[in-house]
Amino acid sequence: MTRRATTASAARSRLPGMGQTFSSGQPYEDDAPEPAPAPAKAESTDALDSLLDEIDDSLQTNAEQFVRSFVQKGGQ
Amino acid sequence: MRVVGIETEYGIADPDRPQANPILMSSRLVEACRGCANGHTTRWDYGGEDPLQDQRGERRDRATASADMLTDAHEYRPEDGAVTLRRRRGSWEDPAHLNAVLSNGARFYVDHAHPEYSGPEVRSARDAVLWDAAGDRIALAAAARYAEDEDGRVELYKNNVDGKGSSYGTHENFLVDRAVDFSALASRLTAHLVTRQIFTGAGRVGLGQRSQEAGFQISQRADYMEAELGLETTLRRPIVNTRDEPHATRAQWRRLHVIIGDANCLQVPVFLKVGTTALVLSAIEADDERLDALVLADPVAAVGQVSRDLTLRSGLPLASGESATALEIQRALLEICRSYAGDADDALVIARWEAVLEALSRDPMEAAADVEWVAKLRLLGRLRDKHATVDSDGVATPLAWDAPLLSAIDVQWSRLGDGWAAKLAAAGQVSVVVDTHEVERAVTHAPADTRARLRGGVVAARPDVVDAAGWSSVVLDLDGDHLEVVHLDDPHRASHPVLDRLIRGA
Repeated sequence: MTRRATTASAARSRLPGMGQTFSSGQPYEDDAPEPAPAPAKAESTDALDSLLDEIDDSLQTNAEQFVRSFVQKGGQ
Repeated sequence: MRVVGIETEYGIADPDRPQANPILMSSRLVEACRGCANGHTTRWDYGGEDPLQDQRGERRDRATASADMLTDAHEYRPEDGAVTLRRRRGSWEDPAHLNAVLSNGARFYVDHAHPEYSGPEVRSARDAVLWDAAGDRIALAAAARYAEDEDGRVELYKNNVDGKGSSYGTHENFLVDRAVDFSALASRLTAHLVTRQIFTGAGRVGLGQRSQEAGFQISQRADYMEAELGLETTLRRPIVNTRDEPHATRAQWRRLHVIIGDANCLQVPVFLKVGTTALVLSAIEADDERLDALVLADPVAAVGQVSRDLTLRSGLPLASGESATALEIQRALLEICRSYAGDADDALVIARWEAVLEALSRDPMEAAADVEWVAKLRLLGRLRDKHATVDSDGVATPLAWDAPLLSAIDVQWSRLGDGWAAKLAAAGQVSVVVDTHEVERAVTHAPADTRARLRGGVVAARPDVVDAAGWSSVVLDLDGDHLEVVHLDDPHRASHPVLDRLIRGA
């Protein structure tokens, strides 16, 4: 955290527009407004867990074959 | 916002027949798309734009051309706008270049060996998301019909690499003032295109064009960017493409063709890649000299460096001799662009841009609901831990990045319909920008504030009198001696007396 804040201060002087963001002279992290609320941790973990189970069910045996057969022609 | 359009080339595969010909499958998919359109579709207008330009490089002298060759001479009728007459032609279409112009103003067609959806012209980042999502629905509906009508089935992938050396693109097009010097535009835009990866990247398992090294990187497309500037799109791909095909009044406009972007299955990255780039272009059009401090010393090298730096802390050398991280450059661009936010949609772009940069700078994982590479990395990280090997001392080693399981998830992530990204969205794990019912409407309805309204509207109302349509033309067959070509050279113009009459049913 300290290291990143230092890097940001060093960059402040030379990048345009940085003065507005960092006018308080505080490290960037302290200036940041509260983030939008993310889904509750437990709920998000449950959703990922069931997706991981589904992945395991669908791919345990044929992942290698699937990857080998996914061949595309080049495009733009 | 300026006029913008997104083109997506989908990966295509028959899961039961890996050797099936992709050009043929794409062609049959376009035919299936026409079937879904239920008659409300037309073919592409390839003709008439420069009738005296010979493909072999010569140009016919205008004085020796017969009158009926002069199809580019607009016949001005003040009450009808510019209309040109053109001779009738046959109904033959090259099956390898099959097209469907749709009632939402889009073009669905075969490009190289991929099906491509070129969305209609839009004027807000939100509308770009809406008609991009509509394209996925259209492609998916076509695939369902293909399974009914054809021998076989197709799966479609909204990604950009096969991991074996091939790449296919997702291109953005931005209308830009012709008065801006192109080399100045390129030099001032490049830093944005290189560093915006941190929120537009879709994530990729494998490093190098052929995934010859194991690992995870931020962008699908990064390893295929090999030049700063150039005309090519299929080899030696450039960060800034120089193709000059404005599809609009040439004296007034350029169409900037951006080929560095990833295909995105999440909506926020689409919203931001279009919205932020449009704002940076406004700063360039205003000749904002603050942009010059951000010019990169080696943009091509920086593309790869940014894509491989999952901590977002590595410094990029600037032309000034100093260095800045991708996040620092993006924050500086955000501050510059605040001056160019012209409407409510731009304000939403600025707010989202700022929130995403803040989340990324605290901890990239905090952006997992908004940023696709983070969402993918989070899922793959959980999978690597789940399949970790534990040694006799109880020390766990996560599944190695070259495990086929991880590459398979990476590809399947982007599969339309039942891919892992779609399942993550269905589980409420990602942010959405537009509602499902809006997307449903955008499948059949064109944006109301660009010329796409006219193209899509006439295809919806009177497909029986439309012979063909292009970006800047609608060709009508009204039973006269000739076809009538209605020219739509201004992408902003959503009204035309001839087409409005047909759309109204007058």
